[in-house]
Amino acid sequence: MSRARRAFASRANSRKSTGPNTLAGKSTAARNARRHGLNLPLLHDLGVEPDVDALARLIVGSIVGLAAEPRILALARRIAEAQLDLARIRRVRLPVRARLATEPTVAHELLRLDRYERRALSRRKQALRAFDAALPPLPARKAPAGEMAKRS
Amino acid sequence: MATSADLPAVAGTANRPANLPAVLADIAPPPLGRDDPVAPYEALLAHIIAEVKPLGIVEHVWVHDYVDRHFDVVRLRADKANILNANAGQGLRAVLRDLGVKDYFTLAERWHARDPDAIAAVDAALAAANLGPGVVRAQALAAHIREIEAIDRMICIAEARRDETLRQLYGHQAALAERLRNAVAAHEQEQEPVQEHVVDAEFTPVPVQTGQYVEASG
Repeated sequence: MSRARRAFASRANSRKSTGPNTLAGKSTAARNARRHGLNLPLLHDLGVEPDVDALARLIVGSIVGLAAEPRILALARRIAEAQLDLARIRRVRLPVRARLATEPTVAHELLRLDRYERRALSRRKQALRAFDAALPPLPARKAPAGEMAKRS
Repeated sequence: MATSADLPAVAGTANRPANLPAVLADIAPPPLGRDDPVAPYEALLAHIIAEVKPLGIVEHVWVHDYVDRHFDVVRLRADKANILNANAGQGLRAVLRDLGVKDYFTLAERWHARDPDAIAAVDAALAAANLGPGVVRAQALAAHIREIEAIDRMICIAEARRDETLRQLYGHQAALAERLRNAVAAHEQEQEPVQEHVVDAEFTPVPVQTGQYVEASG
């Protein structure tokens, strides 16, 4: 092989095995792995923290006689986190799901997205179990008439 | 003896936050796209809420999950049928091509548009080859078998999750019922013990008045 051909082949191989050189190219390549951001934990977005707290307090507040102790609140926060993560995943999934009727190939994409939902559901289940197990016994008291358990 | 009035209060309508629907829309968004009809979903949700009577935010989330998964199952089944119907023309094209029908492409297009002449021509071509209309559907299925399989898996997953949601809801309600039972038992223990022995007392026999009772005849 002549020196010129070897140099040409070497340059061609080099182009195949090196990344982008320009800033724009590098910034594009840096985003290659990011499609929906569902691999990131929910609390990576600091703006979600107040929502998690608010939902945790709502969960604790929906159970009569349950004081918002730090331990109970921490367990409720785990439920809230998993639930808000589920909502985030379902929002990402929704536009893909809408394309299914006209574009059957998105079924594979939906199945790939499903693992995030499966993980979030598992986290929520564990969190709810821990929360239920940690609930203190109800106080034994005679409730005034009309305050009996009501199903809405 | 404890009555229902002795039960400690649990979360009910009084403890439901006023903005519950808004909160639920935020944390458990319905699986509806922009063009999806809302009415069937809302009707199903209302029916299930009336049936299950959820208490507190967590049970409401579970009920929404149950309805969402059920709705998913129904829509995925419909999507599967729609994909097969939409690709029937493509399936017929493959069948007619294999049968060596002239101008099979246009004939399949006209058949798909429900042109009566084309339908008759296709029926004749299939009958001549001793084939039924099922081959068209089979060809459409073969063309999208991977997608149909993926949809079937999604249906299975949605059904399993729907049933799991129900089990979790019942488990949670059972835990609540257990707490209520324990609270009532503790309340009963705190009360004065019921006297179990009978105190003798004086009594006067009441004379039976004539005609008050009918004697049993043998």
